[in-house]
Amino acid sequence: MSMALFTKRLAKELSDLKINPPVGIEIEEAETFKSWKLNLDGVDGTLYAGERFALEFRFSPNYPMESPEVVFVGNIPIHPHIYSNGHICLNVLYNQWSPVLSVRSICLSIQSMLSSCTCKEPPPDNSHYIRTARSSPKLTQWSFHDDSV
Amino acid sequence: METSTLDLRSVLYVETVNSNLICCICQTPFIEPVVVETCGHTFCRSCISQVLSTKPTCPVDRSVLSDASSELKSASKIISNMVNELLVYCLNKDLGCTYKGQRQLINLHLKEECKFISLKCLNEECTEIVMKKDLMKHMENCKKAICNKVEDDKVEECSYCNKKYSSSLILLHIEECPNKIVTCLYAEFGCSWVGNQHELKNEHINLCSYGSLKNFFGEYKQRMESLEHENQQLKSSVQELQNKVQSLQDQITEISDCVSSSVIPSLSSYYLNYSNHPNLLNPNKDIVVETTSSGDRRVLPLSPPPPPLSSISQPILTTYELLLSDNDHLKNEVETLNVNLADLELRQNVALMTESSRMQEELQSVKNLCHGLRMQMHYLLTERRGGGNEATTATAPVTRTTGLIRSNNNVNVSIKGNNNNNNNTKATNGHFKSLQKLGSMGTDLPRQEKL
Repeated sequence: MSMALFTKRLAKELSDLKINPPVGIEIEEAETFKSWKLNLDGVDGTLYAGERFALEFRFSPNYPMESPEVVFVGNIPIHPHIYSNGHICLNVLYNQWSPVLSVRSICLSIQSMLSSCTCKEPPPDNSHYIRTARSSPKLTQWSFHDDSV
Repeated sequence: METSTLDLRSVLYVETVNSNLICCICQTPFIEPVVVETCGHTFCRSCISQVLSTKPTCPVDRSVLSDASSELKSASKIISNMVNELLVYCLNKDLGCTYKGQRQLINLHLKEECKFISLKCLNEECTEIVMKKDLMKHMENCKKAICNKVEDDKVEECSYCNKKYSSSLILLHIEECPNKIVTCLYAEFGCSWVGNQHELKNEHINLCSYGSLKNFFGEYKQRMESLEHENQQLKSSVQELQNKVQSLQDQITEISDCVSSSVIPSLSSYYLNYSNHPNLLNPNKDIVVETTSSGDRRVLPLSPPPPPLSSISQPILTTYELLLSDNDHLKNEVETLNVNLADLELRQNVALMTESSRMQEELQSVKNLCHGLRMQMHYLLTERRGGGNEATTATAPVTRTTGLIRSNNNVNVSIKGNNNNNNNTKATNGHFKSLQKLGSMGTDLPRQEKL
């Protein structure tokens, strides 16, 4: 049953994203239900206007009970909550995940996080983090302190 | 409700489903909807229990659910009905099934009706999987089956084509036997064609003139059904109304029974008492007015003689008659009183007139008297003071009735002043006294005069 829920829900989300894609978000690759790649365009009028980033989603068979792994790949935006290895410090991806959230809602959260940025600079502990972090951001102990985004 | 293993999440919905009926966990319309009591959010039962087994918070608002299992209550009937009645396509739509129906009936359709469902060949040795509609054809060709089965299974003969089938297959065969005698598909519209199934499919159905009219008939059939339905409703409402009328009639009967048993006996005893009275012997007269010497009138109501006790069989009628005659009595009484009243009024008026004319006369005489007195006073004053002051005193402003009392006071003072000196005043003394009284008594004037 769990397996069925996982595939059916992802199939539904995929068709929904294709039929009615949100502004500035585009599916790059979604061949399997294991990982998808999406393109995220910087919103006009923000620091990231004109830039294009790629997000990678990796789903576990427990999705949507468990959050997907979401990282930036390739061109990584410079942002106080995004580490240069692509890991994103965003609570809804970790302890605040809820099954009612979806790929679409995560993309929108990240888009809004980028849009509200006022100063393009890497996180203060970036160099330390990228040396110690494991491959999956879900294994990191995150502490969330900035409520402004 | 959904007991079968069929996963309703796979079904395809005919129309776009209202977003309020979509579970936000599986993102499909609710299946067995349950509501979380604390926050009121609705989910599929399986979805929310799966979530709660990992984390005891509501996925929508993250409110903490202390005792997750007791928090879940089946959603209200209306929600489950709404999702159960959503129109869905058959799961075998891709294979060619055109069925569309309520979601709650899809199981039934798959089990009983759908010809496109995949079945395993009934022969144990055959591993082929075929669609239900093709099963028969397959079984005929499935050679293994015929040799094996015919031996150990009971063999039955199709009554239409005389071919032999094992008893497990005979029913399936009869349904599809090309020689089966059937009526036209449009028999209900009036086609009287009867023939075997093969002919029907290949020849008749294309020629049947009723076929071209099927839309027309279908429409009328639908209309008739709706009318029948309406008729049924009307019938039931008429029945309901009849019941109501019946119950009301019963109530009326009950009430009139009560009245006849309690009111009538007391009334008849009332009449028995009156019939003993000597004045009531004449039944034609309604009212007897006795005028006593002192002038007051006594009105005695007189009723018709009491009905014989045996006539209580018409109790209500008797009560009405009693009331009517009572009413007549009261009317007559009122008339008599009116006449009396008019009489009294007339007398009162006459008395008033006489009294007031007498009073007017007395007033006139007093006025004259007053005038005389003034003249005398004038004369006396003029005489005493001599010629010098004559002009001023003559103009004393004494006029008419309102001035009368004031002038009386003047007179009073002046007379007191003059009393000792002037002998002529004695002549007017008697009048003066009566005037003094007039001043003090005011309205009692006529009586004083009378005395």
